[in-house]
Amino acid sequence: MKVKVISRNPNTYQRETTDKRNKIVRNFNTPADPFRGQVEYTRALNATKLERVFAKPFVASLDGHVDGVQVLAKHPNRPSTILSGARDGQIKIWNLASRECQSTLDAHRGLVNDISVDNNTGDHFVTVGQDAQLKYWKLSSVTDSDQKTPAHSIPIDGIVYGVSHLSFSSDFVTCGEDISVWKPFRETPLRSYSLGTDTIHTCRANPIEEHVIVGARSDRSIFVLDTRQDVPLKKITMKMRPNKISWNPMEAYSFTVASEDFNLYTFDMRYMEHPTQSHQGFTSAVLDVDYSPTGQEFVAAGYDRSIRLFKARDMTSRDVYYTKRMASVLSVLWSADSKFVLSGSNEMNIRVWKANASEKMGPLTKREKQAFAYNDKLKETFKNHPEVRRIAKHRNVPKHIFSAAKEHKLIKDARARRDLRRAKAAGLDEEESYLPQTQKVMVGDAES
Amino acid sequence: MSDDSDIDDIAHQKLLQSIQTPGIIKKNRLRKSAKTKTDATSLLSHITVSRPSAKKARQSLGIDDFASSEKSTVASSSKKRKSEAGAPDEVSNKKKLKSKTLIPLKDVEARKEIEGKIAFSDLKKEVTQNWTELVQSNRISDQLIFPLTKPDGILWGDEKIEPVLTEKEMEVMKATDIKMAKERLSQMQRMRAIVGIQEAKNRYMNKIKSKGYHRILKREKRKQLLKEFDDLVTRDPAAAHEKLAEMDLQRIMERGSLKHRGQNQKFKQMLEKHASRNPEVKKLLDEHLRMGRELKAKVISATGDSDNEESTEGGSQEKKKSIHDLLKDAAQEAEKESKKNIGAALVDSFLEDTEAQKITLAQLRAKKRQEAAVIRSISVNAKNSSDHPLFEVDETWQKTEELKKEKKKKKELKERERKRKGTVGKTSYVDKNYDPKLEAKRAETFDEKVEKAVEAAGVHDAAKRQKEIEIDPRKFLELNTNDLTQVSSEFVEKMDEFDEEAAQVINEAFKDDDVVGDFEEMKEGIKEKEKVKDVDLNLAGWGSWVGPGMTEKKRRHNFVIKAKEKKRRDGERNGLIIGESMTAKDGIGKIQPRSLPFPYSRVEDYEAVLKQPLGLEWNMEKMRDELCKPAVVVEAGRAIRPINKKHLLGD
Repeated sequence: MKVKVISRNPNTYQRETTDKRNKIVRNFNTPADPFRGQVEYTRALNATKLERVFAKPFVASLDGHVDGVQVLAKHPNRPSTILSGARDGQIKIWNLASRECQSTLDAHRGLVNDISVDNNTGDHFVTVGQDAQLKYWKLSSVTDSDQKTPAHSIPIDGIVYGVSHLSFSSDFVTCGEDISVWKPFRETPLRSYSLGTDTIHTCRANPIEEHVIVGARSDRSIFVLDTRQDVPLKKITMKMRPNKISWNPMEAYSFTVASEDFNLYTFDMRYMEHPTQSHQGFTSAVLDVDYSPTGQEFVAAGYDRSIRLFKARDMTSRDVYYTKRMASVLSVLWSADSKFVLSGSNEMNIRVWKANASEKMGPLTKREKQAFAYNDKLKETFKNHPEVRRIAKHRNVPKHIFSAAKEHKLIKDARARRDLRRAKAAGLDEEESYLPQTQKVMVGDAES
Repeated sequence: MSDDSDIDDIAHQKLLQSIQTPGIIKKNRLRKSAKTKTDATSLLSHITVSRPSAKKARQSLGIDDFASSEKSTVASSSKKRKSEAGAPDEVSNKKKLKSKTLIPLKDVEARKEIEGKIAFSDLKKEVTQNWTELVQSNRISDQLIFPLTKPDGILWGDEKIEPVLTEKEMEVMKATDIKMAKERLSQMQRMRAIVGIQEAKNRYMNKIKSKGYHRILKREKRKQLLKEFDDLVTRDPAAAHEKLAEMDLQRIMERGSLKHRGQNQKFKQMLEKHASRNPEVKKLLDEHLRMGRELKAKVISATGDSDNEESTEGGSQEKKKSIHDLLKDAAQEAEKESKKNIGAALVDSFLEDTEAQKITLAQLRAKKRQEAAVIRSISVNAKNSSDHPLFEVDETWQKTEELKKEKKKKKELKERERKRKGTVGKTSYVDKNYDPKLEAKRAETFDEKVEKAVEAAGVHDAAKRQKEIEIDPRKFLELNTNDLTQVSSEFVEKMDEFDEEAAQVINEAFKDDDVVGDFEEMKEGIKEKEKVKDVDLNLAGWGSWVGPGMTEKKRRHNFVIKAKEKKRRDGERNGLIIGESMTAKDGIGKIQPRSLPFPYSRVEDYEAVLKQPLGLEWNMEKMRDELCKPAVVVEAGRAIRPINKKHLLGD
């Protein structure tokens, strides 16, 4: 009887000495795997499930304030340095890495309206408060808790509501009754622009173009200012009040507005007749917004006790964070290394969250990195498959948000139906009468 | 200088005059300044008149200085203007400008607006020019690695320095490019291979002896020739004439050489074997072959003749040899019988419209055909035993024709009686415009009507016969036997070739297999399985209260959710099962995307993306890493600054 056995010559697969590399026997003309698609789909599904399993975004809580945290600010160069201002006028400087408060300053009487750190050297910061004081503080790299008085302090006529440093500069701009451009350690502003009787409650200097400032006034208008000119350039009015503004740090002409009408709107500064994109999902007013330093995403704080993360050009939020005890969120911040998100809420806590809920923190081995990259790519490739999408998009939200969202949807649908009926009665057809959400939020025609 | 025109001289003089009388200039300056001044000074004076900071701002801006310097420039410009302006105008202007009223606020606002608009368009242009390209490229890039700027302040990397080559170097590079050389070589090889294959093919084709092949070849050539001829007719009639002559010659040659072959060799042999035992069969065979030849000759000579006539002629001449003929005879028989019973009654009930008549006829014919088929199937089995076959009928086709005529006459009579206008001729059995398919359709719609009529006539012959035969017609494979008038001659040929004996053998072999019955059974099973079932929500003890006036059954009935009746897609169609359980919704469609996702515009593109293998099982490690590179790379603990304009624009 003939017995067949598989025998191979060891020379074809064994290395000669241990110093040499292992021989890799490889078929360069492998037939296509008929189950490739199925296998990768299953992996994508499992990766999506695992992502949800590991989605634990909450990192830490920085407690110490004794009133609601009104404002958060980051240091441009030091990702671990975070500044927070409370409604009782106290300012705290935190070290994010050690989660410790480095120093506490009793800066203002009444609430701290805004904080901004020097964009050039990063060794000073400016605070403005409800007590109509503009204070200039030193911010050294070594911790000094004995600093009690500001380096410079200026009393101002009216209340200053916002302060923002110009791009890569020590100059800053304040807003209140008017807009003023300041140089550090000067008693008077370089320039002042009066825009009328309405209070300017927020202003932000463009992080890239050093002359451009955008702000919002209490008459629900948004304006653009060029510090080289004497008059404001453009003014548009929205139907609801814009609460806060944040520039995209990677795109010189786009900024996002947190609006009182539960939505956020991204504008292109050049074409401001109406926003380019609306971002929906909140069930109450949006109080603050901050871009990721990569410019790809932004985070927004809602009065509905949640924070939402949006992709810069997506309509719906990518993620929503909340905890049981978190009150309405007054301020929000994306850390300078783009890895964390901070939220300061009305119940005196600053919470640190991961920017990607399921991301593994700390150093990764090469294989881990490769595995995560592969999983991410799979998720991205198969994201439109119904099952994958369902799992990836599903979020449990608190009951009040869930029910409010349901109610808002009802209202929105009813309005859409009403509009359609009216259009039909007016003799218009469906397409003619359709107005996108972005065009409905503006008042009248844009004026300069 | 002396060549200068006198206009220059006048201008010069005026200039001198103006210098001598400075008072005029001053007044003139005022006028001009009021008209053209659009600088910041005037604006600030109006806007921030009450603010202490305004002055400081003005100082810081250096506007004060600017205003004073402007005076002089305006003066110089007005000098020129003055020289052009007339004297009376000047006087009036002087009067106007003496009053120092404030500019109305409305004008200030308007001016502000205009200035703002201009400045905005400038800013827009600047921003667009500087950033659009970068922003767009960042938005669509596969991977962004942050921070974009290197720590030393130089713009982000990835610029590869390509060596600059001279033309000669490029040429040398080209000449020594191994890739290109290989490509060329492979192309040459491919060409050579193609030539070789073609040669071999030609050689082989020349050697082919098959007559069938050559006949096909000839036919194709003829077709080609015809096509060419058609083309020529439109383009060049003279050439077309020549071509026609050529074609005619070719046809004559063809006719001369054409051998009207009978069946193939094997078939013939078999027949002969059989015929050797039975001289009668041999005779029949000979007759048949002769007949075939005749038929073919006729087809070629007069293509206009209808096949029907031929076949009827053949039928009259021949005695039932082929199945084709058997079918026909059976049909005659059946017709005769049924006519006796149904005919009159049917005609009576359907004389109202000619359409209905046609339909009745079609129905009748279909029935006859079916019956004939049934009879045939029996006869095949019982052939040997019975001396007098069922279909041995003395009546010829001619006779049936007569019968038909009689029938027609009857109809005509009836029509006349009813004084209808209907065209009688169209009720004839063989109509020229007769379309069997169309008729069959119509017949379906009038199915019920016809059946009712049949019932009214009190005829149940068909059912009776079915019982006698004991074969369920539903289980019998439905043969779509169209009217013979429309059957192509080729098909008839094939039918002729079909041997009774072969049919017998097949029938013997599959005698016990009830394929159709099994299929029906299977279908019933699947139907039952896929039927949506009622949901019974009854729980033990729930809803089972008993007492006076309480019927338990009724209560329990309330807990059953009735399933909706679902119409099956295969319905009542025989020989067809369409599974309902695996629809797009609950099969694999449940996990597949139902619409094309956003960035893709074509399904092929999206499929290509999904088909790309990503894992290590199907890729090299490097390839996998390349495919799976993350879209955004950030380093933990490293601050990312905004794009630095100075670095970008190289200031």
